[in-house]
Amino acid sequence: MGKFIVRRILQMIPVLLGATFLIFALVFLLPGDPTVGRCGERPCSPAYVAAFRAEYNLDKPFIVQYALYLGKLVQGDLGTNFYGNSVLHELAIRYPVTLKLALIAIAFEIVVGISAGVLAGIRKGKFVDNLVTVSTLLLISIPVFVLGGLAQMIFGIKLGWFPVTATEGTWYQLLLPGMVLGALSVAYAARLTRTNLVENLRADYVRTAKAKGLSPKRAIGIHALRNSLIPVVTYIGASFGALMGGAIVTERIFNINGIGYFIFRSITQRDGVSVVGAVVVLVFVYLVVNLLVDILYGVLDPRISHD
Amino acid sequence: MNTNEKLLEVNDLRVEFRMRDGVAHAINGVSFELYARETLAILGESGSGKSVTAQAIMGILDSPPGFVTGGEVKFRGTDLLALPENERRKVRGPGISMIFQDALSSLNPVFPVGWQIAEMFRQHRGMNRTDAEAKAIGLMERVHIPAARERVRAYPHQFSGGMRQRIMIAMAIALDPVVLIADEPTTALDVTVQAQIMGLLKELQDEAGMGLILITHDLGVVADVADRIAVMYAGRLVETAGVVDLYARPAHPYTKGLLESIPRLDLKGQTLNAIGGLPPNLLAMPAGCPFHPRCRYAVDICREGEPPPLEEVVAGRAAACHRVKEVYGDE
Repeated sequence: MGKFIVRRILQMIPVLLGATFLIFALVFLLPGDPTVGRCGERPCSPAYVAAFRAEYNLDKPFIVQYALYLGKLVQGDLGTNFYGNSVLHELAIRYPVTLKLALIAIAFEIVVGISAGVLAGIRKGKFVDNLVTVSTLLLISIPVFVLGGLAQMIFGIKLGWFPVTATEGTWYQLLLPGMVLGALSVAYAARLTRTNLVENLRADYVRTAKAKGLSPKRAIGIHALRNSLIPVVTYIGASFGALMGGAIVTERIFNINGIGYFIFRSITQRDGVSVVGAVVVLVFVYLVVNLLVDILYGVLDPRISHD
Repeated sequence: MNTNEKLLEVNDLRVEFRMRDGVAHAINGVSFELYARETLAILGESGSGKSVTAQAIMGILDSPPGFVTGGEVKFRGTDLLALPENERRKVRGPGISMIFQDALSSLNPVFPVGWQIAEMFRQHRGMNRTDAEAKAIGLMERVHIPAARERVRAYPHQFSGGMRQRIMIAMAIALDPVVLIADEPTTALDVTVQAQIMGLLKELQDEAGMGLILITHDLGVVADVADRIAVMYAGRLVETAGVVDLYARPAHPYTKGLLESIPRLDLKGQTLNAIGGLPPNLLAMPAGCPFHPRCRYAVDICREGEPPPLEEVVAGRAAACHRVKEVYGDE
């Protein structure tokens, strides 16, 4: 197990290098001048532009810029953005909001997704099953920006149950955006649970459980479900990694000051340092969560060995 | 336990499978009895209904599509089919217990073997975790699993095929069942292990005086351990007899065919007399005796009307054949 974790951490190094290089190159190639609009109505003076470019190493060749950036990165320094703020600090004040949002989405996935999947699975072919199949298909096929807008209009404005925006990022404000964010994964989690449960209900060991004189509740709820949930838990874990990357569209719709919104704003402002910094952190978090999921998989399924 | 106590009495059991393309009559009026300390072998090829019979007795038939449509399963005088599910469930384990063919898929892969054995005590007897685990270790020792104490928390995939079947057996005998049904318990195992498992079943039966129903397609397994044999074909019993009598002088053409299809050393070099053709399709059973298309004794009466009933040939044995006199006398 220890060896497995060390190997996986070592594998992260090339992935992080590749990811930073790609993002850095993309930002470098991005058209537009970050000094535009910094001097009021007039174009900036050549002296200011030269000083700005020198300060942010923009006058140096691409490879040198990248090397300088990496040098700071290994020291844990994500640099200073074009507004003179530490990128690390900018991320640190926004991460709690994104984390809350992701937690709400995951809770929604676990509670609603798994329950719907279990109901559909044990009532295969009945009304509940069809209802779950149709509604999950609907969720999968609606793009998140449409779903977000609809949710705002129906639950925010018409019914007035939830605030329309989540500017302060309180739990209550984030409830509706969290559900919108988790909607797609809820649908997949429900379908995954249903399929696996239906399959496992036919398994020989469930027949054994019945032959042991166990109640149907125990044969299904303990014996079949425990096996059915292995892939579901893995899926939800992986989707948590993705959600931690912030939800650019959802955060934009609900005006949430999280990582996703920060990336969106940094891109529009040509703030390359912030974009690269944020994405590096996201890739890192994603890799760590995935490692945790793989370890969890080994714990859930004793047949998987990480040696 | 009274040695001659009648433990199980199955009367005219009928099971059908209602499927999209029709109704398959899997069991068509099966009747037999089982006494204490007795081993009854139910012999038949795949699809003959032997496993379905066992599952119907246990009440673990997949329903739908399987439905018990008639008959009685009397366990010590009580008809199990008339009991509510809640009551019936309590019979599984302490009353009638079952082991299956493929121990790897029949054990839950994600729970330790000891936990799965202990579950019997925890659920039926309300025992606590520690006591139940101690019981599980005791049972693992009783079925001769080496280093039981160390292996009680191991998972099924960490055991060999023979050891897994021993775990299955330990689980099945946990609550000292009165009747044990073994559904092809050795089919998935290699020959030396087969003998060990059959030996273990015999040993446990002698200790506890259980009635044993052994379901198999293997005439070799049956010969050593069974007291009586019931031969099944297309959802019916076609012959019942004591094991020695049956091997010596079969009374049904199907049994005769089965015995002739065993390779024998003293007949080395001769063509094997395999039974030609295939068992009938349960969705479209032929008229008359279901065996007639494959039967070398078949005459006109076999091809029409109802299948012949199971009738006594001599005391203690019965056969379902219009031409039983010719078959039985044809030595």
